[in-house]
Amino acid sequence: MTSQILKVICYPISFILIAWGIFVVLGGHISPGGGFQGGAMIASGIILSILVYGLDQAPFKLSHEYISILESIGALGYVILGLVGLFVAGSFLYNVGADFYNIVPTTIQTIFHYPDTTNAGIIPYLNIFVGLKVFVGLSAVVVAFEGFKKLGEEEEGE
Amino acid sequence: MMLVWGPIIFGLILGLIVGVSIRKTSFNFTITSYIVLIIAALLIAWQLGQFDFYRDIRMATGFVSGFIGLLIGRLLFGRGS
Repeated sequence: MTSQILKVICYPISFILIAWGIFVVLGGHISPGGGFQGGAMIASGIILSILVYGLDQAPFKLSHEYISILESIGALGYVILGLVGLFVAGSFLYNVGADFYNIVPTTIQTIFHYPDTTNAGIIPYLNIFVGLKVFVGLSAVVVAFEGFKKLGEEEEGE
Repeated sequence: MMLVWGPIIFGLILGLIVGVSIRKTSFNFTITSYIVLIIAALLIAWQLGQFDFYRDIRMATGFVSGFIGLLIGRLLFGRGS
């Protein structure tokens, strides 16, 4: 049984941790951090709440469908961005948003151009997809461990 | 001063994606607790500062929009148990 103090303090800290993870994901192309680090920070917020509240009462409920959909979006998005570079410019993961060699049509460059002042192209999008995948991947490990633990305790009780 | 829209838009989207997984907690958090949380988040964003090369506002817009996305996700989907 977790104490009420932990429950009260863990929920706001999870919010802050997750928002901080999002901040790190979005700054991956101009500051230390990126998709993996930010995704791990988001997952740490979820893991904290699961450890304190337990799997059944945790405020962040990651269902099987939610995890599988986000994992698929993360992997597919990365590959699709790479394939766009392959088909448009001739090389896999070519930065079609920045287009340093001027070989991509302007329309496609505008579509894949990340709206900021650094001309980063598709790099922030890759960070976002990696961040999504890492966030659900690391969270799924802890959800599975907690589920196994609960199952083991139920079997011991019988 | 031109606002950099990248972190605002994608922070909101990422916050919403994570926020839809939030459900009602066993502990009753009132509206006051959320107001205190928002003030704390704004203070953190102010102290974090904006990314390098972005010269729009002093505050970490990615952090704030991610936090707002989380709250919107909580308001939209966090009612059920």
